[in-house]
Amino acid sequence: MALNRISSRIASVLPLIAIGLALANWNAKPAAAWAWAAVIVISVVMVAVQRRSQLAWSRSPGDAASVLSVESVAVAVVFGALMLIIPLALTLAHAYGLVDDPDSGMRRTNMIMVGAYLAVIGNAMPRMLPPTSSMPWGGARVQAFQRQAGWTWALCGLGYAMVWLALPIDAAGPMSIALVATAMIVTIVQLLRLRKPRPHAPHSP
Amino acid sequence: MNKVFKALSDPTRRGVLQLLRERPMSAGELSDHFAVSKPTMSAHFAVLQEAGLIDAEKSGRTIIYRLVMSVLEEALLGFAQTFGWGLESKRATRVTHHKLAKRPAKGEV
Repeated sequence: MALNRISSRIASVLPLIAIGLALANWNAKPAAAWAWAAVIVISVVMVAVQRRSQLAWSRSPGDAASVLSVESVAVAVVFGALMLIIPLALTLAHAYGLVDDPDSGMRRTNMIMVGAYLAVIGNAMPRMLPPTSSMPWGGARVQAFQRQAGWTWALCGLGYAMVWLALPIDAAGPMSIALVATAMIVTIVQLLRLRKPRPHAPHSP
Repeated sequence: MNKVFKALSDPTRRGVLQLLRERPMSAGELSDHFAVSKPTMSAHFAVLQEAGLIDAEKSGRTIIYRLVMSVLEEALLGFAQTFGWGLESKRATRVTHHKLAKRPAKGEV
């Protein structure tokens, strides 16, 4: 619950930082006004979505599903806002002569963020199970699929982030695409194995 | 996170999580695997539920427990088993043997 409160607070603050940085960039580079205005609009939408999810949660605080959805929204807003803040900060630093080449750094940090997001989503995947009663074979195979898919995407996300952290940009691009493609193929194979009927499936308790 | 570490610190609770990795099970099925009383087992289930590692679902008169562990929590369970399981289970075996040795045999005064 403490983690939930911290992530909700961070999710409320980060879009406001993005708005502040967009305004500072607008002041430094007025020629790209449309881009800064778009960032402000996106950040305002993020704030609105975050407020809306918190409002829905406050109406039914004991509901596990609403807690999960608030957490998912908070995580998505945090990652979305960070993906805006990092390039905005680098562009602002470039405008004031603090950074020479913001493009490569921007691309690298954004890709690392994408990797981290994949890892976070993969980490949470095994927790997103429907009720056992709604699943065939007592849920054993669905649970196994979600665990394997969770591990696949968490490792893919970590690998993705590591590739963009360590390799040169020319090599990191194809390598990260290969990682995601592999994770997708593995997940599809796991899904097809889940759909295949098993004659001696474990008996439902 | 403290609750998760507390839940993973006990070998019985780790055993429950290990069993639930195979499939969702009823409270009775899980209890059959451990030589502990039902109230103790219920307390273990409560700790695991409070940590958010398992979820209970009522099906008729039985309660079905299922695993709701994230990948990170599962990795922590793996670490706890690798580095803590052997030591604690050896200690538990030693304590059990000690208790059995102290218990008087049938017919003994």
